[in-house]
This record gives sequence, structure tokens and C-alpha cells, in this order.
Amino acid sequence: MTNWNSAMAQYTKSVPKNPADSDDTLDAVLEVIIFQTQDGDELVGFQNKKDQVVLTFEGED
Amino acid sequence: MTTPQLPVRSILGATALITLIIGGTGCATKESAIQKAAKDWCMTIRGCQVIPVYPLTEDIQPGDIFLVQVPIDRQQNLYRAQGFLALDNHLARLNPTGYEDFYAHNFFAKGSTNRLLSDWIRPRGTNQSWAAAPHAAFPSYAFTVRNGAGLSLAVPIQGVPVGLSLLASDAASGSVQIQDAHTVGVDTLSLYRQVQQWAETNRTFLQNFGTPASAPERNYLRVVSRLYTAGRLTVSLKDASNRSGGLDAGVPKPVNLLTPELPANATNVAGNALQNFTNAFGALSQMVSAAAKATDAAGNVLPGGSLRLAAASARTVSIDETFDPALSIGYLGFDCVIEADGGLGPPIPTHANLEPDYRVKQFESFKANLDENVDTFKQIENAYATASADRKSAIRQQALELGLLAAPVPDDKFIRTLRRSVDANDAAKTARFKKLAEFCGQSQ
Repeated sequence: MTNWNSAMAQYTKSVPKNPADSDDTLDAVLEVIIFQTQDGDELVGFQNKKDQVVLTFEGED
Repeated sequence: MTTPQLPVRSILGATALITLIIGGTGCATKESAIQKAAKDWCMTIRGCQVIPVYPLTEDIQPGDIFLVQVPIDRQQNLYRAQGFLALDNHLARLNPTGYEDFYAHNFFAKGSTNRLLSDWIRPRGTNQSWAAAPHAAFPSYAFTVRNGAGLSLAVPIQGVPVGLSLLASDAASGSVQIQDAHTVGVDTLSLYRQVQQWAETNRTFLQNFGTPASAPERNYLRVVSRLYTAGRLTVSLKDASNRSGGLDAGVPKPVNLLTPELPANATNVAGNALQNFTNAFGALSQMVSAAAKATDAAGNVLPGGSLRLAAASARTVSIDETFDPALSIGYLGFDCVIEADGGLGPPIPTHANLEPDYRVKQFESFKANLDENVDTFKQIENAYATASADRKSAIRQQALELGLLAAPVPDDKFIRTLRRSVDANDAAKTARFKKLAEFCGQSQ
């Protein structure tokens, strides 16, 4: 799910957790971070929740 | 030598304590017996991929909306522990408008007008409730039971305690066959649309239960989309109490009527035996009918279906219990999370939410979508980099029309903005990215 804040050019991406394999979850989180930061956006927030990881990115509007 | 004497007060105290303990244990045993029977029953229904309704009721229909304020993982625990989910917060009842399209092709007679569900529950001009609805079938439910506390409450059918009393047995093994089962449902798409309209109208109310995506516990709307009913339950009981040498102590049991002694020196043995059996069966049937008309202290007829003796022998009893109209025994549905602004999330099948491995499947789906999204995005990025100015403009326009961009963007911001739009949790968006990649691959 993507949440936009157009004024700040800030958005979030959530990665569901694999309850059976935490390494799988970590791989998916890293893949999302690498993909979203390729055009200069930065990871500015990381929330480790019970069933998902929420990543917040920020970049030029 | 003097015999030590316990103080009277201590003896009284100990007696009271023992009474309290026994009493307390009795209550706990009764409650746990009820819960166990309820769970056994529900597990049978669940085995058929249907979410059980307990107790059985007529008053649940497709389009019913319930508020669920228990987190999914807690629901999974309750579902495992109890076997069913309480449907206690009934918010609304929608009348699904999608029945006609859903059933018109194969279930409605040509030229007939059907007003569902009423024409199936209580058809005009006939007393055959649910007869026109699609049929369903369930496996039989085997159980062992002991006559005791809570039995009549725990098993949602009268036939079991009545059968036990006919056998005059304190223990029996048996089975319940769910018969005259029917189902009715409506497609998720049309029902979800109706639920969204209802939610829009009641947004202010739903905001009270809305939570942001980051909240640890979220509230849901549970919507019933399919119903399973049973019109008849056949209970077969086999006496499992221990006896030896055919000697029964105490009061003779009613089914002994079926093995009366023949008159001495009778000439027509077969005829007499048949007549005796018929008479005895009639007597037993009257007992069963009387049991079904049991009333409580206030003279009200106790709830339940009508009972009819189906078969009996000295060690077995089979009773048909009919429900007219049929009662719901289970349902299927979907859950929608309530967002902070009172809006609704996508419909997730309730069954999927209750399965512990659903999250694993959800992750696998995310991972597959993510890999696909990354590949698709690379195709778009490469095609865009080598495209002419006009072609780039066409690609941006196509992205806008597909809803992958919220607003028009200039050339230098297109890839960066489009990348932010990638969402592996959204299967629809994944499909739209594929369409854009196909567009990019087309010759100019």
C-alpha cells in the first residue's frame, strides 16, 4: 500500500512479513529499498510491525 | 489412650470446602462439556470449508454486516479454541441486488420471477422451504456422548438427548447426518459494491472504528456472502453402555418394547412378531413426539425442530429432526478493514483471514509481484530512455490513463514518479504496469 504526501514528496511502502522465514522478509525489504532509492529517493523511516515492515521514503517533488 | 478429635468447626469448614470444590468442578465440567461438544460440531462444518454458525439460526443472510473488533491473530486463536466465531455485533443487513444475475442463467425457470431470498425461504403456494435453492451435501458427523450435564445445550439438536432417553443409556456412540442441505450466495463483486455504497452513507459512524494502517489492531467489517442451511438432521445412536449377559438393572428401557415376548402356543409367530413390532414402534414414536413438545416452566414450547422416529432396535435408535424453514449451519464471507477516514479496504475472504498460513501466502504473493514489478519497470525504463520525444509523451499519457500517475509530469520526472507508484501489494496495479510495458513494446 502506498501513502502519498505530495507536499513533502514523502511516501510509504509496506512489506508483509513472512512468519515462517525472517530472512525472506529481510530480502524483500532490501529489494524494495534498493528499487525505490535508484532515482535519488532516500529511506527516512522504518517501522517494524507485527505483520509488516513499513518503509518511508522521501525525495524531490 | 484418647482418640484425637477434630474440632467441629474444622469438620464443618472442611465439608463446606469439599462441597464448594465439588460444586465448582461440576460447573467447570458442565461448561467444558458444552464447549467441547460445540467445538466438535463446528469442526465438522469447518471440515467442509464452511465457517460454522453456532447455535444454528434462521436469522442470518447474505448481505449481513458484522463489526469485528478482534485482531486477526486473536481471531485465529479463538477459532482454533472454540471452533466458531461469535457474530454478536450485527451492524446492518443489505439486500443483495446481485442474486438475479447470479442465478438467472441456470436456477430460475424461464419466464419466472423470483424475489430472493424470500421466494426460496418461504415460497408462495408451497410449503417446500428452500426446495428451489441449489443443493449442498455434508459428510456425517460421528460422536460419542455420555448422558450428563449440559448435553441438551451443547449439541444443537434435540434428537441426541431424546435418543439417549429412549435407549435409557448413559453412553452412546452415534452419528448425525446433515440432510436437505442447501446453499445460496451472491458474487463478491456486486456485494462489495453495495457494501461500499453503504459504507459511504455511514462513513461518520464507521470513522468511530477506523484506524490508520500503522495501528497494531484494526477493526473489520465482516460481510456474509454465502449461506448453508440444513432442513433435516438424522441422529443415529448406538447404546455404548457396558452390560453383561443381557441383564439390565433398574427400570426397563423404552426400546425394550421392541423385543416383547410372544404369547405362548402362538401359531402365527411371524404375524404376531410383526404386529408386536408395529405396535411398539408406534408407542415409541408417540414418546418421541411428546418429547419434541416439551415445554419450559412458563409453558413455552422449547426451541428446536420437530422429531420423528426413523428406526429403532433394542440397541439403536434413529431419529429425524426436521427444521422448517431450514436453519443456517454455516456461511462464507469477506472482511474489509475500516480505514481511519471510515473508508473500506479490499475484500479479503474471511476463511483466508482465519487460516494461520494466510500470511505466508500473502508474503509469497507479494514477493512474486515484486519480482514481476521490477522486471516490468526495467522494460518501461529502457523503452522510455530510447524513445523519441513524441513517443515519450505518448508513454506518459498512457501511464496517466492507466492511473499509474496522479497528474501529468514532465519528462525528467517521469521515471522517478512512476517508480514511486510501484506497489507489489496491489495486484491490480501490477497488471496496469504490465499493460504499460506492453504499450512501450509496441512499434511507434
